[in-house]
Amino acid sequence: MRFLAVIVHYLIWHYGRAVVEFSHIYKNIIAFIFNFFSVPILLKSYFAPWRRMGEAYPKDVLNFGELASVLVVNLIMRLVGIVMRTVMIIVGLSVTLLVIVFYPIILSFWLGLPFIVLLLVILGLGLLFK
Amino acid sequence: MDIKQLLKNSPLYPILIIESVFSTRRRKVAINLAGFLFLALFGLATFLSASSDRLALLAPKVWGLVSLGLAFYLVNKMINLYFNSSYYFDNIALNRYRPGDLFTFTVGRVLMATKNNDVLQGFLSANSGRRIMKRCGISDRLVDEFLAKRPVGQFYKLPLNPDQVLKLRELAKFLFANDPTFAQFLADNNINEERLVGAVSWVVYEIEYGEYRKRWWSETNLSRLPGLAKDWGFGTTYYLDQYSWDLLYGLEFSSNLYEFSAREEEVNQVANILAKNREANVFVVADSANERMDIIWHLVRQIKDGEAAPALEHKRPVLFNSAVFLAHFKEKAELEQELLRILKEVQSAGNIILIFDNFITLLQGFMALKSDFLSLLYPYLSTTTVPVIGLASNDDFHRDLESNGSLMALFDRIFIRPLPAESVIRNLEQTVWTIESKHRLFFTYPALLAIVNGADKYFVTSDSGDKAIDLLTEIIPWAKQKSYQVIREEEVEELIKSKSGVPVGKIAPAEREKLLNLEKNLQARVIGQKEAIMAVANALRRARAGVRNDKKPVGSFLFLGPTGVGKTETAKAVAETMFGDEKNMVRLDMAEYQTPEGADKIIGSLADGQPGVLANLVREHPYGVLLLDEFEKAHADVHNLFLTVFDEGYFTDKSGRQVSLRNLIIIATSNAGADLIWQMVRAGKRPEQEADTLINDLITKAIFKPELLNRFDAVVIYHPLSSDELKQIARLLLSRLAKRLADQGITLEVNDYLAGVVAQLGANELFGARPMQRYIQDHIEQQVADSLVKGDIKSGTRVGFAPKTEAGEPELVVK
Repeated sequence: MRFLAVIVHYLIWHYGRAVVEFSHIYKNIIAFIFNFFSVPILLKSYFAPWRRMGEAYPKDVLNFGELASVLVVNLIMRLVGIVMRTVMIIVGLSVTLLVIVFYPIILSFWLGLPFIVLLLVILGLGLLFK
Repeated sequence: MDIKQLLKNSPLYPILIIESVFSTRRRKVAINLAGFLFLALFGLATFLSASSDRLALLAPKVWGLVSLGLAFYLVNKMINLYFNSSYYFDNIALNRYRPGDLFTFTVGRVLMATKNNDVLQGFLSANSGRRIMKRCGISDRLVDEFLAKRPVGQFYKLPLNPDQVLKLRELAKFLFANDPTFAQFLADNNINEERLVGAVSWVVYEIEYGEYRKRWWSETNLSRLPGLAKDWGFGTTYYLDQYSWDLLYGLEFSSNLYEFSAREEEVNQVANILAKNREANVFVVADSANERMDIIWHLVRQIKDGEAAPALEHKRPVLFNSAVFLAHFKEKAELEQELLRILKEVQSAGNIILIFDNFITLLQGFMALKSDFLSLLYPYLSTTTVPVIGLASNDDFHRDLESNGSLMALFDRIFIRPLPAESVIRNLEQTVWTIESKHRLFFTYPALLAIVNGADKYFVTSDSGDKAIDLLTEIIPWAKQKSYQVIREEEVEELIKSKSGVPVGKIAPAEREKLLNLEKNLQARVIGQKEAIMAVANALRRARAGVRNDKKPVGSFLFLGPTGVGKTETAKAVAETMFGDEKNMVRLDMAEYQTPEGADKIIGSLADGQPGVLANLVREHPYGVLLLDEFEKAHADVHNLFLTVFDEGYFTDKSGRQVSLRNLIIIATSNAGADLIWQMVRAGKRPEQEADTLINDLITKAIFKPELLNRFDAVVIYHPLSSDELKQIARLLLSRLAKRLADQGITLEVNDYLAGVVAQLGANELFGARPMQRYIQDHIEQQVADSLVKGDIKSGTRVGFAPKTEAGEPELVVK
């Protein structure tokens, strides 16, 4: 009787509170992955030059040759930054998406877990005493 | 009250049952074992399935076992998750509670261990109770013996009410107050309520700290893991990296909400200054390098945990190693160029907080190459792109930085205050866990208290603000050398005694003997002056017995009397008796401080940058006897300085540091009033009994202020020596000479005549017994030396002295 009470208590937890807590932890992990790949920071500094590299513009604004050369270098640095950040953002978002997609699968496994255990015991005993 | 019923009604019951039947440790073992079995059986089943016909027949059976093994593994995991759900999500692990709880989880475990409603038995049987006892220095064996001896079936009405949840601390206090046998058992082991509560708090803190760190899935713990590409928006620092250490990545250090910080206020102040729009620079000033870095580490942790102000988000605190940088350059131009390169780099990187580990070293290093560090730094200091933290000691700051107005306009200052004792204990508790796991040592709570008190009491002149941690660190090699595994109060006292020479802790039999015979020992050196010696001996016994006020010097005496009556000799005798050697007496001639500048000389002066004479003397000799010779001659300002010293046991030097004299016996000697003493003697009075008249005379003549005289533990009057006493002194001095001659094999006969003549001709009214030594040297030693040189006497010779003239001048006689 006491054993049955414990089982019932457990099942109430398994299909009630545990699901909420599982979702809570999952949310933490998604947030962690999103931040791990620094998606928000990369978006904020999306157009900034790669590692702030660049050259100072000449004081003589009429020196068009020098001006153009600095402009090109700085443009390249920004392009490199954009490319690198784009790659990282794509990777980050993909991994986050993958983890999100896995949520219903893992949740289904959790919901079916008591039945899986039961099936494994029946199957195991069946095979053992066949 | 039925404990079992109480437990059944508690919402904690399910997890308490799981924990008592299938503890966390057992569950962990079971899960690992089930996992291993599953994998092993799976491998076997696969092998059998693919093997020959006969073996393949066994395959279904093994697959059945695989299936059962997996089921067993999953069930274990489910139980564990079920436990963790309540244990961690409701913060039960942290001893927090939910509506309906009457006690915390830790108390619940004690109640689970309770048999026959005997809660003390449950407390002392539960893991937490055993650990508390161990922290109190009480072994399992002693606890078992106590439980076996005490009357069975002690029942108490536990203080349970829904408004106030019962915690382990309160339970321990309750048991201490309600079970006299328990209180007595603890008292027998030198544990009072305060120590018990301290040990409980430490154990509970240890449990909660450990559990908190296990919660890897919490948002805070996850956010602490380093991410990728965080610094792509900022510049690189190639030059700076060569001379610096990136504190964010350079050291992996733990941090979480439970990390204790008594420095929160100072850390927040530093963070606020760094977040300013302009002149975001600050000096962190503390005497100990550890204290300075402590602030920096907490700041780094705030930034790393994302707890810092938005302006400091993604900042990179970098510790610039001044010594390494300076060592690279011999030429001024190179040095300056490199610094400017670094500063430009820091400016363009945009996320650096530049921390100069020792600002003064850098300043002086540049000065040595005739360069001005500050003028190079100034243009960057007023911008926000180069926030600077300068670390400096109090001395350095006050001497070299504070007076620089333009520098001070660009920098804020944070002075690190010394930690209160409770915070020091908390810090030590955390440090001890690391030491214990690393060095296989175990510290009791009384040992921890002894470290804190000992560091505070006996190493007061140390510059280090965290001397308790220093003392704790010193214990490790010392304990290993002595093969100690458990560090109790006694071991800490032993170390302190060996380091300082000051006897601490319980009085050992040999020392007890010495203390009880103090008068006898002192009188062996100081002839006469019984009252003076008795006053000193009593004060010393009070000090050692722990009755004295810790906040004052061990003793402070004013010895008044004519010259040559034994004042200095008493001071030497005290040093020898109490501190093992008369070398433990340091002397300050107060006649050197007669001018108004005297006080400056004593406590140090900012103007010439010199530390004070007394400050230095006391730092070098923090334990022993301090003799202030001719005290009356010192300037009134110097006397005023000693008002604080006698009252509080310390003075503050010019750099603002406290110099403690609390481990010293201070003896001031003075000839003031000698005339009056002589008059009293001539009038047939005993000066020792006329102390009030003498003191009034000194006050009337404005030699000493009444408030100064009142602050001495005792004003001791020395009377002029009688002819008998002078004769005894002569005999003592002659016996010392005889001992020296005996080393050369020569026997000197010291008889009544010789002692009498030395006392008569060697001493005089003005200088008392003082010229006696000179007389012996000129008239006795000299004759012996002459005869030795002439060859009249040699090893094995016996010599004596006989009257040469009618006046009685002694002449050497070879016997």
